[in-house]
Amino acid sequence: MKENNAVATSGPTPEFVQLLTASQSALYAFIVSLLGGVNDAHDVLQEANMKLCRKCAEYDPNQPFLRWAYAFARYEVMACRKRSQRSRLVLDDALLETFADEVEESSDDADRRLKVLETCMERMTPRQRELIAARYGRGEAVQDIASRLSRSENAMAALFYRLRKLLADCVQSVLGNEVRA
Amino acid sequence: MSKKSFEHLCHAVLEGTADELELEQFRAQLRAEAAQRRAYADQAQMHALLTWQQGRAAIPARTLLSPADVPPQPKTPTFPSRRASPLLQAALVAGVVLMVGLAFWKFADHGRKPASVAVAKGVSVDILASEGSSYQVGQRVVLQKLRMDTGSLRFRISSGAVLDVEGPVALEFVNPMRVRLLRGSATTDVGSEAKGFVVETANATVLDIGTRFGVSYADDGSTDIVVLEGEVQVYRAGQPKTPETKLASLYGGEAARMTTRDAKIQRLQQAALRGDLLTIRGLNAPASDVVSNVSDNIKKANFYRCYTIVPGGMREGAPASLTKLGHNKLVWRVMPGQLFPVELAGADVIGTFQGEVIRKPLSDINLELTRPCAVYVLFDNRATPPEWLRHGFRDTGMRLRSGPWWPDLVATENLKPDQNGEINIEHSVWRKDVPAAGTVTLGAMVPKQKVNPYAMYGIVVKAL
Repeated sequence: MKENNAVATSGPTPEFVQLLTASQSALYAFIVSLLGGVNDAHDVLQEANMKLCRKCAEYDPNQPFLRWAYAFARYEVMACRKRSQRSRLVLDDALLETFADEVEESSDDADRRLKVLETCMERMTPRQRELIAARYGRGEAVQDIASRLSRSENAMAALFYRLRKLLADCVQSVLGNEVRA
Repeated sequence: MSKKSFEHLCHAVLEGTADELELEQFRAQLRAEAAQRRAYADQAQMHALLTWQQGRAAIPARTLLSPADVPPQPKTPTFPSRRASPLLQAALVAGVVLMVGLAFWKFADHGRKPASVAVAKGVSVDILASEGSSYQVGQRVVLQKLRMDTGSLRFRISSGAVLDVEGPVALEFVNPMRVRLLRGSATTDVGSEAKGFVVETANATVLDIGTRFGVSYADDGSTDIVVLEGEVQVYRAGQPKTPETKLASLYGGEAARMTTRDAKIQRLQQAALRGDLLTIRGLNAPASDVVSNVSDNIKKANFYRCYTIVPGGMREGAPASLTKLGHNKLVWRVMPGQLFPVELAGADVIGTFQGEVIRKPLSDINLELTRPCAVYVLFDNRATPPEWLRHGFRDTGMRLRSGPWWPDLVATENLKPDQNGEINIEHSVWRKDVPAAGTVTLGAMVPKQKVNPYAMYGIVVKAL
């Protein structure tokens, strides 16, 4: 029968692809948090994307996509840690579980978060934006930036900590106001 | 452990510089306090999002699949088995994962399915900023061509070059190191990663030597090249890039125009920019409605210094000068403890070039005004105001600073750095009201036979 010859090629729908696309930055951030840095984060993200696509039929559109996707990302982080047992692990297993649970609880509109970040950056002073551009845009090492500006590396590290906190607070504040509105 | 210590540890962890002892201390902190875990979550998330947003989250080469690798969309099923082969399934999944990167087509091409265009060759880019365009910040997309009638976009090509474009613009991505500008304007920042990046138009090939520069291809067929930092080399379109065929080397603060492919390259005296982003303006961007031209009478071979104009751009951080020597740009700053003068805010700001830097007295500057205006001259407060300034203008009492300057100059040798370690020069603000459209001529800083150890003045124009 012709129907029996049908191939089960019902891959991800356009809606699923759109959800996955919009979640990329949040998944990346989640993975970076669990890994404790950006090393390996792309590989893990790529693996998680592959798994998510393979399991797309299991996704319930009535459930938050990101929370579902986080479970895959967490699994891939664990797999990555097993592969690199001898290398530097920032979080131990128990801590990773606790931390991941807490982050997953606070998941929200991932795409929106990135847009709000752009708005928050516009509120920074030109000097602050230049520092962000140097570190994250041009990829300069913090040590090099400190040297160029005749600052100690510790002072510059503390400054970047404060800048990230400033942005995190701003993003949280804007998103919080949107929810209240 | 003090809060400062946690900041230090957190930073070291994210930067990958923490040693084993620091990692153990860090873990102990996280285990002990939920507040520290939240703080780390915020830090890690911002670190990741900034890395992503600024395009530094580059996909490793091995996962940069060629669009041609994407399997064609499945057609009528004809396989004997009910299930697809593992190979086909894997190929389909790989295709969809790539489609995540290609999803821009969905937004950019008004509903066309991603897979239907996935066979196009292209260049991987990250969308860094988007205003009024259908692209979304954070998207990683593959582009072969880009056409926009309106809106603006900033994206990073996989080679590391960052482009700012504003509609109307049309681009072709020849490869990650070469872009063909078919219409409009593009500002390129290649940093240190993509030296050798090329922007070509119908009449010029611009080879980057590690810099930030703008190229504009107008509807009349002329090409403008403005170098904001660093150096580019300009060649006639279609010619090999050899020392013999090079038309000019342009450096920061220089600009040139080629009206046709065979025309002689000529100095472009005025370049319009967009604010503190230092991008050249698009074809649709309104030019200044008060200043139609800025020019001088310097006639010299291989001289390409240009005046910049940012319509409505006068504010804290507005560009004061583009410098040729690879230093940071000079900007206008408020005096310590003061607010930016309301009278100047939002006026057109004209960037001049430094006589100090080119070590020559500068000639007169002519401003062609289209309506009654207030013209402001921001004059180095240490210098004696020349005759033309004292008699034609009045000191408003307002003061601003230019900076950050660098120490190895005659103009800055007696100046001390401020609390941020930066050298600034104080300027007095002089005003002249011009009651009708016409030409205003501004003179030299000092009499031409004298040495000029001062900063060049700045210019601001505001409609009355």
